[in-house]
Amino acid sequence: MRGWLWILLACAGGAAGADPRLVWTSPGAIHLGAPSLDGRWLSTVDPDTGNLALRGLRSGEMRKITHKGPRGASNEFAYFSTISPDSTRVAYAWHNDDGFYELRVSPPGGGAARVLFRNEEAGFVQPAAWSPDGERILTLLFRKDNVSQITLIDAETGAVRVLKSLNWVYPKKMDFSPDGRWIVYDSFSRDGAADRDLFALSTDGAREHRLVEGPSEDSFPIWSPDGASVYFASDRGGAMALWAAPVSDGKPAGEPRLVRAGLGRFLPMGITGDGTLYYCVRDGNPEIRVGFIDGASRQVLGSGRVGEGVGPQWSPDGSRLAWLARRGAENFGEESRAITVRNMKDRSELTLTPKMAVISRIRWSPDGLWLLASGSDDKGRGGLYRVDVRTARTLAVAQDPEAPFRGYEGAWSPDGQRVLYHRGGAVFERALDSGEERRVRSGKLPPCDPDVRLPEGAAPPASLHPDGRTVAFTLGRTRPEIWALDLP
Amino acid sequence: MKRVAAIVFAALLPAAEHKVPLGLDAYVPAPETNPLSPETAALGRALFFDPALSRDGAISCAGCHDPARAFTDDKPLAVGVEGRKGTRRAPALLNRAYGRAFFWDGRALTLEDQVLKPIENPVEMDLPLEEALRRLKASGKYPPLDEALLAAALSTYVRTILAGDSPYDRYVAGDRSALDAEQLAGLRLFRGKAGCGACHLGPNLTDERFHNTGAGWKDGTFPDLGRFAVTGREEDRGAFKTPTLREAARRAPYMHDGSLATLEDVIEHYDKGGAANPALDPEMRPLHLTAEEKRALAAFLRALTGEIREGL
Ligand code: HEC
Ligand code: HEC
Repeated sequence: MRGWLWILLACAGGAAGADPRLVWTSPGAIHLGAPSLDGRWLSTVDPDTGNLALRGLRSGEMRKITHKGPRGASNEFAYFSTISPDSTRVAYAWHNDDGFYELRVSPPGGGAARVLFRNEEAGFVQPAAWSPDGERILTLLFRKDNVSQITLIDAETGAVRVLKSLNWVYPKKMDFSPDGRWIVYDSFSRDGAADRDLFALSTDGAREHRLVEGPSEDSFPIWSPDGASVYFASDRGGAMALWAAPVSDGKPAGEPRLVRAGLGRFLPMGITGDGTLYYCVRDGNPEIRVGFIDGASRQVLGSGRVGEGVGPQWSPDGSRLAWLARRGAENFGEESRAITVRNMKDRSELTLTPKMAVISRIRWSPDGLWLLASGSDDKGRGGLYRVDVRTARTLAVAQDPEAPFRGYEGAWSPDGQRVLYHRGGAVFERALDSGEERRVRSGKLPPCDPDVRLPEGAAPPASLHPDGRTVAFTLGRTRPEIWALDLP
Repeated sequence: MKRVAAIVFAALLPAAEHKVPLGLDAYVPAPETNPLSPETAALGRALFFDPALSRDGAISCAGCHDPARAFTDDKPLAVGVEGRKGTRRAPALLNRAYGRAFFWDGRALTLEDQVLKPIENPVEMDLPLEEALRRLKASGKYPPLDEALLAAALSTYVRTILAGDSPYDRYVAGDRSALDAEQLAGLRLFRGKAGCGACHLGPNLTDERFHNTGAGWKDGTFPDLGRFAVTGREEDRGAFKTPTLREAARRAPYMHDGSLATLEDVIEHYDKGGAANPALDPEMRPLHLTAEEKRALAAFLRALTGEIREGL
């Protein structure tokens, strides 16, 4: 099917070339790493332990680089990583026991790790690429004031040079030009916009140019090994596809051209020296299903699909079902940025896009007018919000810069006037009108997951209809896969 | 002499070595047509301090933007030639290179566009540009100048005025002893309960956006419509650009109209949720700060005093 499409595209004047190859599919196949320049290794995270690992791209060998104990024994785990151009070091984000991320460097053979940068004020670090001379690591810092910073960190001394700060926005990817003079990154096209453009920033901090612009979402830039183009993901042709923009001296040198369409929900990870692009695909779309349960066994007897998304919740009167859905062409975030509200009688659907960057969970208010949403707002402030079910107007219920991105777990009081929520091991109750808050002695939220035995492959939370017999749940999850594409 | 030496030295350095104070971005934006250069900066500096740019020869840019006062002055409303009173306070010209729009209402989109305006403004320097150029030529102190070069030089100099390296910057960079307990409590409030960080964030403690905090609201109206005059949008009525908070302690009084005399007054203003008015920013709400919390917040604002650098 795919091959057939390519022939068609090639005939239509689109790019040809070899088909993408599936390289790896397993729980360890995640988008957090990158291939080595020599094409031998892919850095990754061992899913069982959270250790940093290398996967042999030809041998399939898995080599652990860090040696922490099993998950659960500590807070530690590896996150984003990138391999030095000469493959002698791996730089990676390490979630430490104090609950924030630090930048570490380890030899690929598994010797002692060095902590290069550790600062709770910039508690999220994402090493993106090494400078071609291996002396600096292009790293994104995310600070407590919700500002992300494009920095160069000295691979020996750990000295930080902040090149550029961005308010409330987080480049999805950044890369070095092969001559080491430029950095390419994606960011909002202008303040307050929702679409991204690509920018080239000189590593000496002297200049910046817009490389790729337009109303489309342009993101995940990676510089080609010959330095003449920047590859990126874009929906400028409709669906998300791989594009290339010709560049010269950090400036656009022509119109972007389509390289490949039909790659699915792909996240470019890196390009090897011989021109192979590695990317991660989130395959599979979780579905929302509605089924009936057997009163005695509490088992789901049969179910039907009503849409795509996660975390369904019945409205209190059972007339509507709301769930978390993907927003537009977004390929990075999970099913967590829009809310679909389906009227089960006339089957009409409404998509709400509240001003929130992350929504992890929703709960209907008793009067069916609001959804309590756990997550973060568009300024990255975690907490609890309430979203007007008709207009998507979003109001903060409890907001805290220290709160996790996924927000607080919360529940409505029966009269809908107050909200109970979990914060730092305790439960608080907040009145919606006055904003007054008190700590609740009992320290428990009302139970929400129904006593139902979901079918194989289903994921919580499920939601029980007020009729007591109908349940809505999520079936399936996205499965990450690593693919390789030889660039033309 | 010392300055000349510094300029020569800077000229020899590759751009990579151009150092900014701690806490600021190494990338200092400047238009491609007017890149930062020591020569233009030095020329701009001389012009910035030259009173010949005002009708009566009594006031230079520095007259209202005084380096000793963090490049503003102590007057609630600017006072120009012959004591003419303006309607707004002179903003502190700190870290303007990182700005996106200029004046309290953002009506100028570039510094090049902005810097000639005060010369012609009747309540500021009140001098036609041709006359200004003629005077500068006659003085014999300058290379041949035209309007574009005058704008390029003044804007370049303004771009070199950088403030950073405060205790707050040292704390954020990892020095946990840089803030004392009270200042640290203030920082937590700033980001948390007091919600200041919703608008004052990043290296320059501003979002470079426009907000209505209720400052200037008097007798049921805004004598100065602020951003509304530029956009015509209702929600911009009474909105002004978020100023940097750097060096806040050194540059009372505060707000676009200089209506708040001290930092304590500013904190009281925010604690009340600003002045209620139809276009009040949704981030503004009563804060219910205790007296101790107000002191901590003020202590934190005083920790934003650091080093100001100018010139290249
Ligand atoms: C009479 C006092 C006065 C003089 C003299 C003066 N200014 Fe200003 N300046 C102001 C005031 C008041 C504003 C704000 C005006 C407004 O927002 O409408 C301002 C705004 C500015 C801004 C915008 C800053 C920002 O963040 O938006 C810059 C830059 C500036 N002045 C530079 C200069 C230069 C350069 C000169 C000399 C050519 C100069 N000023 C002379 C009073 C003065
Ligand atoms: C809604 C956005 C917003 C929030 C929240 C906010 N500010 Fe401001 N701040 C502004 C704007 C806009 C101005 C300028 C207002 C004017 O001049 O009319 C300002 C001005 C100031 C000034 C005066 C600076 C000067 O140069 O005159 C100080 C000091 C200040 N704010 C401190 C704070 C503190 C402390 C808090 C938290 C209690 C806070 N701000 C919260 C937007 C905000």
